[in-house]
Amino acid sequence: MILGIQILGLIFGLFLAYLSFLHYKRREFGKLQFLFWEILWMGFTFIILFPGITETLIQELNIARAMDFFMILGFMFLVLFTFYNYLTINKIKQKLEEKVREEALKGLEKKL
Amino acid sequence: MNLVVVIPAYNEEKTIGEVISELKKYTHNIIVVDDGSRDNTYLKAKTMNDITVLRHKINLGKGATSKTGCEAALKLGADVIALIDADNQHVPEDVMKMAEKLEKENLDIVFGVRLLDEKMPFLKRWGNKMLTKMINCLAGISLADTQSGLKVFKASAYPKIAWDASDYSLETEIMLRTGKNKLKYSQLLIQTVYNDTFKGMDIFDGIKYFFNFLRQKFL
Repeated sequence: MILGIQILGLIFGLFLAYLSFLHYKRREFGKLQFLFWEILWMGFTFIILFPGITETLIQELNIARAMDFFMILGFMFLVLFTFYNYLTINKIKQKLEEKVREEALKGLEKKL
Repeated sequence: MNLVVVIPAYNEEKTIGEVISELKKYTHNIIVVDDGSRDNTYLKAKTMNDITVLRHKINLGKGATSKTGCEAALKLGADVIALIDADNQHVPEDVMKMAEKLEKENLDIVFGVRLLDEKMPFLKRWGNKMLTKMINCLAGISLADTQSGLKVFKASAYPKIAWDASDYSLETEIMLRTGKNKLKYSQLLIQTVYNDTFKGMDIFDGIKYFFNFLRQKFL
């Protein structure tokens, strides 16, 4: 029997798979990027539908419940993506600063 | 000595004209960098003759603006660079005194320090005192005020103090780099006029910059 939380997870996974498809169609994702995200969301929905397949791994890791395992995994992803976003924003900020400075100094070169 | 004064400015249309006029009594080597102001700061500065006015197309922050100004000063062949605020808080005479001190005592950098007395708004004064104590201790230098925007340094020292900070934390980063690179520094008591108590750093900025300082020091 499918539990309520599984239905929620399923809708969530399918919605994100659709979003990835939309981005691919709008040419905002390349083929590889699209494949990566689709595999990730499909994997996610598969585990939601068949949580039993993670049981061996959960026992190996000494985690009491499947729910705890998903919570830990979720937090790990959140931290990972926050860090990744931080690095990306930093990089963009630096590039933006360089570009704006370059543009401002062009005014000086005209005078020299 | 070829002294170039750099004025980073953001939304300072009310004061920029007066700051430039006062400075022009002492030097014409002035660079104003407008940091994408939403008011007429850029146009006001542009109307002043014999100075260089640059503009950031978007607002980046005081650190980034000062850096643009310093790089322009180097291109103009500066030996000594002065950083001064655009809000008419500083007295141009002090810039000259600091430049003289720099040359006479053969220093790398001279920091303008304010008297942390009753003239300074209460919260700013106490926040500054605490921040100054902590930063002095960690940077390995000794200054009476770590948050003044007025400083004069040799162009040759610039690569050693060149900051990464794009915001107000450039002040603390310069101190940290001064201590780290064992530069010859000194301080000079400057006059300060508080035109707007709401401008500049607030208590949250102080906390943010202290954490930024820790990051730069230890990471």
